[in-house]
Amino acid sequence: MSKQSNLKVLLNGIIKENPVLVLILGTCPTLAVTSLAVNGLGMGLAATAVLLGSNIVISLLRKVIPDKVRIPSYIVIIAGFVTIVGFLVQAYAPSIYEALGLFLPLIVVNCIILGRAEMFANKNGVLASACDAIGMGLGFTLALLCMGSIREILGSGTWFGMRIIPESVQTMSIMTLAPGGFFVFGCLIALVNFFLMRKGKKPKQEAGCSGCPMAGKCAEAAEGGCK
Amino acid sequence: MKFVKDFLIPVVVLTVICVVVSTALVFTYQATKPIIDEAKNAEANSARAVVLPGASGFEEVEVPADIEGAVDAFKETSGMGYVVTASAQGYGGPVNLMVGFDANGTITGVKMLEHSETPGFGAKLAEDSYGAGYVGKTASDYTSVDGISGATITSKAYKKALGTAFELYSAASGNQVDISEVVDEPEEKLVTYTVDDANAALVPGGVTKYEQEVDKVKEVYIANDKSAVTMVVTAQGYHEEPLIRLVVAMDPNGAIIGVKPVDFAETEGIGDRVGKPSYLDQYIGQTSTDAVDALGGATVSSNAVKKAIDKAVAGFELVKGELAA
Repeated sequence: MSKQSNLKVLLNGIIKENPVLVLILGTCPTLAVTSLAVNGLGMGLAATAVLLGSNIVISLLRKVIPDKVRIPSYIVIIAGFVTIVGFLVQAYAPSIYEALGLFLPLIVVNCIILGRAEMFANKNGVLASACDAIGMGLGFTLALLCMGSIREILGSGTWFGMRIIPESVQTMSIMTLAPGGFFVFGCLIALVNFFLMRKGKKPKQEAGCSGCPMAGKCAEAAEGGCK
Repeated sequence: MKFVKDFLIPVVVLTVICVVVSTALVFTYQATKPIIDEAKNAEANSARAVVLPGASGFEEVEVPADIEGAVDAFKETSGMGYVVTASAQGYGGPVNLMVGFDANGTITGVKMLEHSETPGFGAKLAEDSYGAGYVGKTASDYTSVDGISGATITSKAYKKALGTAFELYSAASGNQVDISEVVDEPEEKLVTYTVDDANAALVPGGVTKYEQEVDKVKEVYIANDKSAVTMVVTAQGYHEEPLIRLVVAMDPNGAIIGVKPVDFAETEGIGDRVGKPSYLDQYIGQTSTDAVDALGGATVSSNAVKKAIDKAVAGFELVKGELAA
């Protein structure tokens, strides 16, 4: 992975390795906050900011942090960034802070961020890690924005608060509830898979042995990967 | 060296990371706290002005701590009114209402603050258009505003919070107000009858037992003046035992006079709603069971009742000759 150009790393995250729709990471915040497009966008940008910060710092510290304490170190760093981003959002975008509510502090345990730290940032240079963070962050943001838009338009008849569907049309309230979230999520995954298949590119479903925390102890990794 | 490499370095590194991160947090907190506080204050003040139009500034008023659901109370600095916040338990969590009063205790505005009600149902009460319905109401007539159907629990919480708001207004202003209570509609109870009681209730003139067997009907009684027939019919409800047992009374034209439950051991709160008068009385005047819909959530019990009454309808054809036309 370290051989790829930085641009390719950046673009990878948006579609081919889209964290939400291809790697299926971070499903919980994805389903929870996307009842409105603006919430999806806010959550995506907040997570991107955290991801960028943590990826850069972890990449910088990758030679300093001993293997034994790497996960606690990552979590402390990520939690620090999340809290800082939380303060900033609360101060400068209070309405988004309220809409995201509990899910903003929960970015700490968003597996995209820990996943990228473990899979990418601790093996690659600062610039590549920053590109990876931006790509993954944008992929996450786009997926959330997409889901939020679909759910808001169908469920509330609005988009970013603007009325799209006239009020006389009965909206599908279920789209703003959990089942609608799962439904749109499933449809989007299917759509992305369809396009990736048609282009002849098998969607990359597994992160490979490099991303597996057990790789060091796993016999199959030494033989070239899981069957 | 092994000790240093295995234990000391990880501990030191982790500690340093924690210290650095904590320091960064302290600085961010210090930097953003005034902005956050100011934003919160400004938002609260502008929200208060929303429910008390024309207000310029507010000062907090101490209210007795024993008012349940009280959050805060503010007096408009020029004395034009009060803004209080009251809370009540809704469906998904507390429902907080900010209510503005003019100096006489008339509502000038209601705004639902944070809530966790279901979108599309309880959350409809958070819309400003619903709160606008309370403008101009006083402590005596605020309960007359309708709730929103499908959001009964939230509607009740809304009124309860409003009641608390009037209490707060009363405490803050010193004006005594009579607050009308929200009256719960009495819950309908399932009343079962004995066959004799049901006959007496359905046919006031008295009945005589009809001694011949009638297909599918357990017992048949003919009114003494031959103006009606009552039949005891059964069907299996939600549980295998006991069967649902009903007394069905019909007039000489085959129209149902009334249906009373004798045995009705359906699930409480679900199937047993079918045995209550509000459902069974829908059959009054019907000559068949086609026109009465099953009760949502109680399909099995509803269909059992329908089946039992169908037996009575079929049985009526066999005994109608006994009645005075």
